[in-house]
Amino acid sequence: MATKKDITAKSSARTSPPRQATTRKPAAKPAVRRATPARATGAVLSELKSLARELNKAAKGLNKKRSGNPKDVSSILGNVERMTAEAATKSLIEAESAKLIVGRLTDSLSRDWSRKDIEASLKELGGHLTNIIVAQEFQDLAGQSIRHALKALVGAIIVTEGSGPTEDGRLSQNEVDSLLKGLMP
Amino acid sequence: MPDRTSLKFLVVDDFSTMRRIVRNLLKELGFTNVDEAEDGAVALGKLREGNFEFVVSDWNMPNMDGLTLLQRVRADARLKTLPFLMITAEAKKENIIAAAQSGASGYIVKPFTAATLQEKLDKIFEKMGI
Repeated sequence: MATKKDITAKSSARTSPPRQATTRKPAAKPAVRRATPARATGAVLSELKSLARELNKAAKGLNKKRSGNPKDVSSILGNVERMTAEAATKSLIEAESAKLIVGRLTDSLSRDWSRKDIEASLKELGGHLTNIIVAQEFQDLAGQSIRHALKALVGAIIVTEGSGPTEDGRLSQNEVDSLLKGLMP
Repeated sequence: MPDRTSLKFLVVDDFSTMRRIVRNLLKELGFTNVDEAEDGAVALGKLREGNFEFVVSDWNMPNMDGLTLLQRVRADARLKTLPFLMITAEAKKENIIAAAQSGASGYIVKPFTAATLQEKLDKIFEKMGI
């Protein structure tokens, strides 16, 4: 990001009239004079002008990308942060619930216990473990989002897959089901 | 009536975590005959070679995406009746329509729950008459 700003700033300085640039930086003049005769100075100036044009062109390109990308990347990374936080919270809640059951089961062993209760507790425990497993799906979604963010940063260089999950226009499972009712036999 | 739990599944996803999650959920539902593929191209090769009876596939994958895989499956005389369940983060209206038009048997939006997977599988089995 800082580089883009730097280049843009440099470019706008270069697009201003060359006379102004030389008056602003008087120190540069003697250096050019000292190094070369008039003809060479002309060549250097011409090269500088060409460089300025290139930089200007590059900066315009960057400006175009800058119009959407940082916002996109920020939104994507925000989603990643949200997904990881949700997954961590979900996993912790499920693990804590599972630990409570283990504690309850352990306690019951020193008192009266029934096979039926233990079976029910184990089933409950299995449910919490399954939920912990399912919570790990954030890795897939976050991975896709990060690929999307990289793509947005680098341009279209990274050839992977579609755009990855974004929040725009996404339907919930219920909405998908309703839509499919009319589409699937 | 054939036994559901003996069905041979192919789980297709480029993220190994996701494949593992789906495999675990299937195992919990009693389906232990499960193989995996990391993209559509690998999956298509496996489907043509093995006797798979059910495909659970992601959409976004390198080499060959899930929608193309679905279209290839439906275009293949030997595979065209395979039940094909999409599990994907692609949840825009156009995605769902494209999947339905290409012949998806079901569509699950990520993130999903174990209950959603079971519900969609049951619905497909019901249609299959098993």
